[in-house]
Amino acid sequence: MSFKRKFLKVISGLTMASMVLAACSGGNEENSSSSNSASPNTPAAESDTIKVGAVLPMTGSSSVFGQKFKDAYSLALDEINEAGGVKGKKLEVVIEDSQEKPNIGKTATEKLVSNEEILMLTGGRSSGVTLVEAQVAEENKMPYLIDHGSSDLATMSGYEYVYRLNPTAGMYTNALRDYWEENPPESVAHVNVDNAYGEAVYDYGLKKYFEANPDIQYDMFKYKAGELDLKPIMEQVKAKDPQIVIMTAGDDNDATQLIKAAKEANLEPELFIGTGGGHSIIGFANQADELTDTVLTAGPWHGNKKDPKWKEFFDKFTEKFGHEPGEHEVEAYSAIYVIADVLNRAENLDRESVNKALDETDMDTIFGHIKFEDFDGYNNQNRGMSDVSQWMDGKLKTVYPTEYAESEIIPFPGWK
Amino acid sequence: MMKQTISILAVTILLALLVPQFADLHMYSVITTILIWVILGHAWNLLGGFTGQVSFGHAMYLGIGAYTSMNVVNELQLDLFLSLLLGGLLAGLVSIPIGLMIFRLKGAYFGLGTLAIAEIALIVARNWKSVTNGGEGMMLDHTPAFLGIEISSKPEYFFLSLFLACLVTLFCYYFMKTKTGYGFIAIRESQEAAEAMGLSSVKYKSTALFLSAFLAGFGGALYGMYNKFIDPEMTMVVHMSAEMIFITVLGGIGTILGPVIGSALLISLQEFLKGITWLQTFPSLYLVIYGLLIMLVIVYLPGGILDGFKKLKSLLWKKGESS
Amino acid sequence: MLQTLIDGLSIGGVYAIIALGLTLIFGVLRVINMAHGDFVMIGMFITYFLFNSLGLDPFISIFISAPVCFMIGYCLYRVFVEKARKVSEENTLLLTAGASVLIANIMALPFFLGPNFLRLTGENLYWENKIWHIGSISLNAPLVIGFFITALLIFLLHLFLIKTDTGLAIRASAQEPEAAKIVGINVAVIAGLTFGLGAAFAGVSGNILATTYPIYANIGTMFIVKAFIIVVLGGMGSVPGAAIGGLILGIAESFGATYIPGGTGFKDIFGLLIFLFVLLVRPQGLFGRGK
Repeated sequence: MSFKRKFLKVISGLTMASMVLAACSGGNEENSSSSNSASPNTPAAESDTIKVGAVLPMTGSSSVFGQKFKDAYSLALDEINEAGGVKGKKLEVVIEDSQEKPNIGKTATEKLVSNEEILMLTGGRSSGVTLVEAQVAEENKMPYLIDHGSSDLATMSGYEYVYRLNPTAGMYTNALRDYWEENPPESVAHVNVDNAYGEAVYDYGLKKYFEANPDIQYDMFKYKAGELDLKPIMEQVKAKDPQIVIMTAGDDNDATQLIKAAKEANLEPELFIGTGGGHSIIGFANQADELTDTVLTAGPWHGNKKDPKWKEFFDKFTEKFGHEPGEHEVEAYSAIYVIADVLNRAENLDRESVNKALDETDMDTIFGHIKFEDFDGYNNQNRGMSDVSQWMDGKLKTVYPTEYAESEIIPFPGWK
Repeated sequence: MMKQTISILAVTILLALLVPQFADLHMYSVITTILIWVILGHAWNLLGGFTGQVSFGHAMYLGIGAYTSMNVVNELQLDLFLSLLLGGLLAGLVSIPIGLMIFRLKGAYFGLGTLAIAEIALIVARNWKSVTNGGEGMMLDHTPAFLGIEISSKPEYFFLSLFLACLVTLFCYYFMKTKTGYGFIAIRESQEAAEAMGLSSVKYKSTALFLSAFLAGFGGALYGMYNKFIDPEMTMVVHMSAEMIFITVLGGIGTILGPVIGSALLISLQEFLKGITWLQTFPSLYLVIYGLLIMLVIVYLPGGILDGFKKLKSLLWKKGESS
Repeated sequence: MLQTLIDGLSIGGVYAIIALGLTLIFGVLRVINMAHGDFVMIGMFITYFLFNSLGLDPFISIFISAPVCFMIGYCLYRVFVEKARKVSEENTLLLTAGASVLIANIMALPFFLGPNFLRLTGENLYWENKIWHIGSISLNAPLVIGFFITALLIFLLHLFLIKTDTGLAIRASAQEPEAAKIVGINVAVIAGLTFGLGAAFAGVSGNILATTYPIYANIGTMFIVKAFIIVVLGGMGSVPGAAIGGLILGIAESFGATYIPGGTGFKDIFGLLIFLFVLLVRPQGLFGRGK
């Protein structure tokens, strides 16, 4: 046999081997994720667990977020399953890792969609992954409840299978803008992050307000996410002598770098206001310590703190996981309750019925009332509440709207 | 020559027939990804492997192809066939002035120069909102057609990518047998000797770069269409450049099968490791193995896995003959 | 204006130490170390670890980071780089690129840094958010100290290379490796020492940077590009070049970010353009000798 013939054999063999390897990886995941090792082709109705999929950053620099969701999901799942589950079956969430990268998130979503036992999706977290998850869900007629992803486009594209529980990035500043209706600012400097999140916060939110009020001076300064040296930008901001400084950061690292740079540059406005994201998580207080005192943040509210069920969740979560829950955890917990409600109302345990039930959702959760509507160019969007909170001693207190306020706004006292 | 062609075609047909039999959405995903990277690997290999010019900035061409194609498909509703070609073409055209600029740099300086240019391109992409939509990225807003056939589902992308990967592999194979192809190798072996024999190194290097950039743009365009979404961080970052290099070097630099094997192996390895639950706690383990493999291959097996294979076979043959 | 200059100099000083190690490695060994930024990260990690477990001040733990990075660098060289060098420059480049991936991802494992951003904080950290004021100018205290450490290290390096036997051996093997061998210099060990020394410098800069910047496994990539820009600008292999180049880059970035509108968003571009310009027009940089 000639060398070339052998070569051909070798190459086909190798290609087969790699395909087998890839198949095994697919096989592994199926076996390890399904608790009663049902083959992927058994319809959900015949199994005694109901499965929901979630794509989350379980590894990589955003894994701390993925963990928040996993923890909150598990708390809700335990409660629901202890109370009898959904339609007498156990509710389960199957998590796939997105590494916070859209193309990996895509593969992860596809893996979940391939699993015929999975009836709907949630999760996503980052704008990019959420968008991609929504695209894949819509294409494959898989109902998807977004619980945190803030990219406005996901519910502006006319999708029929994608619904969102939480406010979009554009909606993060709703409460803040309401506050400004009563107390308009004189001059604003906005240090904005140069990515999808920052762009959405401005394009779909703040832009409207500043265009409607052209006499308020507004300047935007962009920085790259992960930038280490932010002092020059703070010097630029200082030169404008703004009354209010708004900061947008996707993660607590950027939020910390920003406030540190503000101190270094001796920037002293009346107020520092973050727009959710990195400014609304405990990591910000951990990293920046006393620099966070009096920093405000305008973003999704952290739930209805006057609701006794909220307090119950808060205490239970803090006890079990050793840290207080924030907006992510409240969103995740509420999402699972919405999902359980949806599955209970679904006529049959198939994706079409689930989608119909999801569409008809109308219930209360600790995150507020959940109903999906079409308005202002959004469709299937819940009117998620937003609020303005203030950091003090490592804790976030709601300061606006007044009916949910826990304390008054304390102005920035200046750098000592 | 025919025999190699037949083997490439045979494998293609084998895959086309077998894969749909047992593939689910996820499998299609993995295999299509492998096929796209085969194209990207070939692209880099043409310049880096055959011509010996190690570029660290090929992600730029990938990105140019992806953004061109996305814009053209979204705005002009062009056929995929045309938009992929346009993506490649634009990338190739951009490479011409760049080549003239940096070919005077030798060896590792060349690599650094390509890296710098690619980083500049990345920053431009992040900030040029009107063309790239900046950090927000661009979504594919309708189902495109390839020569009239609508491509949107997983199997459809699989067949398209299989077809294109086969085409590119055959192209590279035949091209390296032409006079120009041999010219590339001559430049790699010794630029001075080649010039002494009358070859214009500038002409050959520029041609290699053009083709390499074209293919990278072509592959990048396909990558963008397949993902139905692109942003600067997933197209133009140095990680993508590095991936193109690594799959080729691991598979076998300067060979036709190198990128094929490298891509198949590395991506399957990644999926395999992701599937093992106890390894989930060490996500970066995949990259640790990756890095280690690269280092071992470069030092101990410079011809890549393909070379390792040949050595293994000759070892077995020798044993066979002596027994 | 003066503030911008001072800011630029402060950060430039730290950039200079990183570049110093790289230029040493390139000047003597003609190796382009793509993993150089990762040694900075290792230094940051050691600082973080020692501060959190022993309360050691970042500037004191320099005495530990430097030797540790030295040893890792030395081993990396003797086991891998040495062999890749025999083949070609590009090969070495690829090898160190692979090493960068390896090191960054080992450090991302939960045993070391894990995947998150970490920071040096705590009551006993004297340097946390420490800002000195001279008139209306604010100075980032740890970076200013770092500036003086850089100056000291440059001086010591200079003495080492000129006055000591090992230094002489390093210079000899750089200029004439074959002749050096004949004279009895163990070129392989010397090469390893040089590489280790370069890595040690990177580690030291990590200590300084850890006081102000976040610490995470992939931060190496931020520094490697800047280091290359400085080394090319200053001249590959030139110690004063690395120093001056570092300051120039720091100042250029500071001014670019402050005075060009939208500058901060793409301030990296200034450095990259300088880099390309120098590579194409005057590849030996400001102080280097032509190859």
